Amino acid sequence: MNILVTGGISSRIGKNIVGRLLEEGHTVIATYRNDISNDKLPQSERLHTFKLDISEEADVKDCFNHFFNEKALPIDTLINNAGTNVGGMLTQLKTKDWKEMIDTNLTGTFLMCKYFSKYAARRKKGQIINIGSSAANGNLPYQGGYNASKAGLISLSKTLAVELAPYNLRVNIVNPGFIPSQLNQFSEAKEIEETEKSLLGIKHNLSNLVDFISFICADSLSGVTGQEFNIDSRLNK
Amino acid sequence: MKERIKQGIAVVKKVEVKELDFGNDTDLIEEVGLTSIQIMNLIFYLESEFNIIFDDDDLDLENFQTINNIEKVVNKQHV
Ligand SMILES: NC(=O)c1ccc[n+]([C@@H]2O[C@H](COP(=O)([O-])OP(=O)(O)OC[C@H]3O[C@@H](n4cnc5c(N)ncnc54)[C@H](OP(=O)(O)O)[C@@H]3O)[C@@H](O)[C@H]2O)c1
Repeated sequence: MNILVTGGISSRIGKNIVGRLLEEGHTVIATYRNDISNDKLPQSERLHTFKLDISEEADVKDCFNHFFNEKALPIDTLINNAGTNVGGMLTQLKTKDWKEMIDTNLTGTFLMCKYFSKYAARRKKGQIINIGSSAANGNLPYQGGYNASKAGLISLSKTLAVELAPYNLRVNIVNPGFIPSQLNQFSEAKEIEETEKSLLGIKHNLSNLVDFISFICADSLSGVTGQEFNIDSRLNK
Repeated sequence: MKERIKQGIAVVKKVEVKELDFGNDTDLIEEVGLTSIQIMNLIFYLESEFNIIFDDDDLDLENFQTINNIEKVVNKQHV
């Protein structure tokens, strides 16, 4: 299958997903925002890269036109993984930081879904996997903009699932639990706190997340859409 | 192209194209009875059928109100 992963080069979660999908024989398009050096990329003929800021409509249009039309490499599955988090108490959060989170996590994902669906609908085949967050269903303080953007993503994904079902396009949302990365500044304190909440005392679930993504990328799940999956072992978010 | 547009109208109305008996200037909303949701689905259908993506600025109801208007707006788009 041909699978596009946003933030697939630099994101901690994204590059693990890309690595696994390549191992499994898929063709993968990994997007990046800042220039990359080739020696840092997984070596595979099945890896394609594309420079893209998901919040820029022109970039998004170009990306799908490039792969579906120019390269004749139709994308079967879109994994919207790129995301950003700027912490801070809501009453002090700068409007520019709020906008950055909404522009990337919500508007950017919307744009990717919008343009992907136009091409995928023509083939009557395709899947969108939006990477949400367990934060969407909780109320963790000091990251209210992030929480709100990810909560919005749930509604976006489920509504899209309804609208796109007649075109045989599926949309699901996968919520990872805490995974140390740039996004949370690899916060040790937060990792300890989150591990304590894990029913199984698991430090973080990156490998299970990657297992799960590879599982739902499989064609065999053709009857699953509009669902939200928490890859987590916590009941109290 | 008009026939292909009419086919799209039949698809979103869930009827056979032969059941559609109206002219190219007939108002699709007032006279044919397309709902706003059917118009949205028609737009999606047309993008797929003609391999185009409508500009946001062209997504005015008026552009989709008659077959002739639709033909004009489809011709305006590039892939
Ligand atoms: N880590 C966690 O605990 C956790 C938990 C739940 C959900 N998630 C979600 O998982 C996804 C990946 O997170 P991560 O932990 O791997 O974070 P990360 O390492 O900080 O990666 C974030 C990625 O998003 C890209 N990105 C940000 N804004 C972008 C934009 N406007 N256009 C294109 N790319 C953009 C970044 O590219 P640059 O390198 O160019 O900035 C980077 O590749 C995110 O959606 C995040 O919300 C993470």
